[in-house]
Amino acid sequence: MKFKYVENDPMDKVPAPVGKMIATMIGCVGYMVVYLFIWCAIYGWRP
Amino acid sequence: MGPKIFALIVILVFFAVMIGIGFYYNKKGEADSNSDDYILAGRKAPLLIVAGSLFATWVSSATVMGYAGSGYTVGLGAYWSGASFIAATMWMGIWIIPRLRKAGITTVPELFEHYFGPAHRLVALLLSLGRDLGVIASISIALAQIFQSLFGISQIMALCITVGVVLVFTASGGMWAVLVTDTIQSVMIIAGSVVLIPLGIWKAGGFAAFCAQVPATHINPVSAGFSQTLGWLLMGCFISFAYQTVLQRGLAAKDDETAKKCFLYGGGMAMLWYITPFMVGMVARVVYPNINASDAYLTMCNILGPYAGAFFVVCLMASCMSTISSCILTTTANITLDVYKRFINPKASDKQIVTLQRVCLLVIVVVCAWVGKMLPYILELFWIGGRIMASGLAPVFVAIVLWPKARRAPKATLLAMIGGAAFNIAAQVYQSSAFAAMGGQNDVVTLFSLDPVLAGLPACFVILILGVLLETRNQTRETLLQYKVD
Repeated sequence: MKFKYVENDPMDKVPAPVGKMIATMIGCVGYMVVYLFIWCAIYGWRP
Repeated sequence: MGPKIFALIVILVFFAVMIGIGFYYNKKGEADSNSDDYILAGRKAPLLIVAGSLFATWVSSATVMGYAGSGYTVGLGAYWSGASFIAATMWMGIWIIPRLRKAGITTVPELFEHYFGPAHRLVALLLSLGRDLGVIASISIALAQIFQSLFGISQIMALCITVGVVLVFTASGGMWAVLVTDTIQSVMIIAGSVVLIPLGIWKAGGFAAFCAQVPATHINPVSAGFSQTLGWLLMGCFISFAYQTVLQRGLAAKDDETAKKCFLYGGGMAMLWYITPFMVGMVARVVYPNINASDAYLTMCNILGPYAGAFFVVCLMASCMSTISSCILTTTANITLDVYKRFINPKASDKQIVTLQRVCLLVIVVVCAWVGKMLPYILELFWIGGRIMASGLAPVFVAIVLWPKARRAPKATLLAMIGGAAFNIAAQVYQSSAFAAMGGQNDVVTLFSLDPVLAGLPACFVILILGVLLETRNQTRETLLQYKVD
């Protein structure tokens, strides 16, 4: 089975450092979690 | 003037505006010149339009009515099941979309052929189509049912009218018409849903009285338990990663920076709104404690009487239409570009492809509406396709975009797609049978003890990671140059 090797692939010109990718995923999920917890707290939920 | 006549006038005006936008972009010639213009709005859509469209694509009758039902039963803790899609969408805007734009592709299967060959393209196409066709079929039926409940006409007549309108504005105006109508529809969705919450709280006797009556479980953010919450989070993320309809919004943006902002702003806006249907459901639990969970949203729509109810229902129809129009355009791109142009007529001109795309829209809508009408378990079909795509296609797609080694491992990537999907299907079949044997009603939706995504995803990851490392371990620069393409 063959593949097509693209030297200097244009996709790789956009940097994607693993640490930053993980940090932004945590940020996006964190945004969701914080927003949910705020609404629950507004309605009277306490941990 | 009775509420039905009022509803009819509102709907006719709404339909006229949608069709008018379609014809406007058709006359302007924005959708006529080539397939890129028709499917991706010529890759020059501005920020506001793409962000609004992205928001509307994530909102459908399934999200509004289904999530209101979850809010009624589970409470705000069910928010994880919807918002995880949005969290993943925002992340994709930062890392996946800019890279995909550099690849210059139009569809997800095209990316697979770009690095491998037709076998990869076909497998990716099959895994993509399952979800999109299920979405079109199920939401077409939901849209017809709403129209039918308003005017008391037959389902087939309701289906012809509502889906016919979607077809006309999508076929005539292409992606431009879909982007602009989506943006208008997103404003209607926000207006027609957010206002129900204060109205419901007011009906419950005010905020303090409402808080005193709401069950404690309904305001617990993890009321569904850790395992279910994690399952929702993973399923939402991986369905989003390969959701072509969303990816094409990023490809349609006029430049990389606009695409990134669209996903962050559109996603951020959708994330804020997504709590709304769960809250509407929770409020309905207090105000109408003895209704079916699935009726929560429509019951709340009538809280201010039949006239306001008619307006809210039109907003709900807007949400259905925006999702159907986006999905049929995506599926059209798959069939015309990934099948017809690739395998049947590679020399087809741009004009021929655009004409075929218009015919294809009609065929897809008719077939999906027919399937949706014939099969009683359409809600389950909606999820089957999504789960298979999340387990088979999404991890491999993300790996190809972000991990250069994966682009040099044709066997591992193909096996991972097939393996992930196969494990998922096996888990769905086995658990559905077990559920049915125990007397469960699996003709509408199946309750799984372990979500099949949690069986398919690990299988896909193991095959993918080990396979790529093994397949590429002896590749040297000389070997790679043998496979080099310009």
